[in-house]
Amino acid sequence: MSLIIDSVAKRFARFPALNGVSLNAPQGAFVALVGPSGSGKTTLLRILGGLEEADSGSVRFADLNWLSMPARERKAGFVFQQYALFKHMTVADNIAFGLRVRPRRERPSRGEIRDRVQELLRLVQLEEFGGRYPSQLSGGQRQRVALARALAIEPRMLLLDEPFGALDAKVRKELRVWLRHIHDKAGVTSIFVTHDQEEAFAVADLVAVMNAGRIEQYGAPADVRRDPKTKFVAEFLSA
Amino acid sequence: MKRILSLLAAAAIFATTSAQAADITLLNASYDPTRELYKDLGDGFAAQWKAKTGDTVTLNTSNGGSGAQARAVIDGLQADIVTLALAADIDAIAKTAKLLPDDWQKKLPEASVPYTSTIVFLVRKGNPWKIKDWPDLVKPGIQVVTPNPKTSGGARWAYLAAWAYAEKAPGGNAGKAKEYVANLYHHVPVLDSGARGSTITFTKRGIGDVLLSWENEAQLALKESPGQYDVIYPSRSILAEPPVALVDKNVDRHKTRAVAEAFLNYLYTPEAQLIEAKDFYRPRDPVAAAKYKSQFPNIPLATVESDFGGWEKAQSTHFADGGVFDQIYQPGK
Amino acid sequence: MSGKFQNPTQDPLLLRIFLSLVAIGFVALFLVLPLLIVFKEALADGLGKAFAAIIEPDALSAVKLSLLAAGIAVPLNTVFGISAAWAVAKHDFSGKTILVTLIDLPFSVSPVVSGLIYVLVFGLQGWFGSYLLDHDIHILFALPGIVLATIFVTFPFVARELIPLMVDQGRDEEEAAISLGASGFSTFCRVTLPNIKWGLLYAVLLCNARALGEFGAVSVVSGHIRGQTNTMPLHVELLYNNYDYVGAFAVAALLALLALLTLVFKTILEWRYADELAAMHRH
Repeated sequence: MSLIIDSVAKRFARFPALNGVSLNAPQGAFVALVGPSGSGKTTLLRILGGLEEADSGSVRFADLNWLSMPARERKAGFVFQQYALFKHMTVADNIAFGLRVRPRRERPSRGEIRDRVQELLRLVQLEEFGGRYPSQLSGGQRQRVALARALAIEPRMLLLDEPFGALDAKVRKELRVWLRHIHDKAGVTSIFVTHDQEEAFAVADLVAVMNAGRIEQYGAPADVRRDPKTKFVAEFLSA
Repeated sequence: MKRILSLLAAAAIFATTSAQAADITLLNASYDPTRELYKDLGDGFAAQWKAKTGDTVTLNTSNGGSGAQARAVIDGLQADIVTLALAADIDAIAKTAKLLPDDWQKKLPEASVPYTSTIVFLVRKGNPWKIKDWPDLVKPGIQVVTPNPKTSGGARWAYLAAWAYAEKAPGGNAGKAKEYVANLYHHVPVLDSGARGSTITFTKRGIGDVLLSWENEAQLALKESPGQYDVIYPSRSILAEPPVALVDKNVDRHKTRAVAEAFLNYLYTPEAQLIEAKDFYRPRDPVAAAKYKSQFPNIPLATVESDFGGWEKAQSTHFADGGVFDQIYQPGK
Repeated sequence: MSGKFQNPTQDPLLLRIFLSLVAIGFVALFLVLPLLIVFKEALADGLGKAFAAIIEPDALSAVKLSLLAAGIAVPLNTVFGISAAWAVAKHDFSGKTILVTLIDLPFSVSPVVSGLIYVLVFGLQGWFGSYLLDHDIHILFALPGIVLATIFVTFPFVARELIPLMVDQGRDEEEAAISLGASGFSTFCRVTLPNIKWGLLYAVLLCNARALGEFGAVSVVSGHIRGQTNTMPLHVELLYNNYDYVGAFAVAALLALLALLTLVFKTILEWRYADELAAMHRH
């Protein structure tokens, strides 16, 4: 049930965002895509989430032809940098959203949904906050709600786009530890985009260093650090 | 069960009797001041028709500027009959849209004009400026209110009345007439687009010293606002002949020809002529004319046919682009 | 340096008072005063006369026609406006600028010209006139023509209000909804629509007011058939032209009342949901 990305490419008008990117990851891995802005990491993430279309290439995951599935069938939970919480809904309703929009056949009962929401609130340590609105929460709290919301749909894959980018350094450190912990508990394959190499290396099982639409090096953090294969990677790590 | 049967029977009877009595609607495209007139005429005709045939006739009327109404009929307004201010407007419908024959005017008596009117002066109560006749209109400081002949049917009658007076005055000719009319329009502060607009300018807005008005409009103003105005009859005026016509193509499509023709013929009957006279339109019928003699002072009236060579000639000479009116009236001068 | 603490970003008191007075004076003179005069003239002969003018059959049918025309035009334009705003804000496609320019077209065209366009297309001397007549289809000088003219002039209101609003709100929430498994329609109903509801309400009210009050375009296509194709504004003109000034002002006052009523309704809604409104603006 591993993730196989093969030669995925994408241009925006004349700009080549992704120049044929390939990587393999085992089921349940925590993969970090790291690199400077414009390196294509967010584009790759959005393609995996179905929010962008690739020009060419293929992705196989959970034995499915991933890119031919429409976004809403993929069950790829997406966590945005700016949280993208539904501002007119309570925290509980936000988390329940993915369950409520399921087709009738697959939809859990009201009671089941309520229990699941409570469970997730406990998981992200926001048990008392179910009735609050996003505008009443701090940045860190909002991101935790976003994560709970993505986890609610029992995703096959968790995609996080610079999830801590809008938060201050202390909160970032706390949350990335906590995120890793959640990942381990849930056992879901996660792809995590960041420009912060310290964060990537601290938290991921596998790291892909990207530059100008290409993966410069891909491997376990310790391996990459010990043995940078290109000049760019070496410079990037020392920054 | 018995109740249902009797209800069914009643329904059946109702259905059959209603099937026999038809509901017919006629649309009359008319010019502005005729609301009261055609309401009264419509009621009168409907009563007569119902007594004769059992059918109910409803006369719907659309009112607007004569030219604008002609335009609407040309563009598809489904009028069964038109009752407009000038023959020229109905000619336009015949020529442009071919909805009625070019010789429509011959189809009804008196060249399709069942009632006539004329142009008179409406002044403030007590006639403070002592306006008696046409020359008084161009005394220094007098302000005359009349609509724009390019857009208003009534205004064209007023223009022609003024012209006819000046031409027929002792020592008068076409040149003198043009001079007089030019002078007259220099005394006009506001040229409204329609007769109603001018009347409102004079009465409600209080502008001007004298209004050149349809006779029936002037009498209506007297009735609506008693004690505020006087009507002055000049020494001579024009015979204003608002024509009526059947819109052949439309009545054939609506299958209302019989009723529409009957209504137009009705306008010439003694009963209708009395209604028209009551509403201040000069009737053709001598009996009605005698009855309402006091309402309609007898003054010499010029006609478009005899004094202006017919509407087509009058229209092209005076009111077409570049015609006499355009030559004498330049706004701002 | 004076000892008093002054808020450095606030204008001096005198300036604020002056500007407020100018604003209030302007509103009073150009909005409130004419409205008051309309009501005063309507009641010049007493409440009974004014009321009689409104329940007179021709007036009542004008009210019905106005409400019917608005009742058709406003929902249609709302659906169109929401669709156009959604397409422009949440998607990329070539021809977006052309669409937005076309939406603004009715604003730049005089209402009378708008009416004339329909005469040119549907009139007897126009493109489809003969065809329509042969098939006994009546567009001009009947309800459809009036509705079309009303739709044209109120076309842009909802779209113009919603497009900047939705563009400003961005696509994040919609993308989140899709990633969570919602269909396009579900996303629209549960996520997009609630976020725009206040803007939408305002736009619909504007659209409605304009639809009820439209004169020029409707006048050209109406045919002015008493009791049948006169809307309220046309009926006001008709009464005025018949020297029935009290009647004209009475119907005009009714129009003004309808407009004021919708404003009151909007204010009540805003007051009831004040908290929600404030929360939405804060985030």
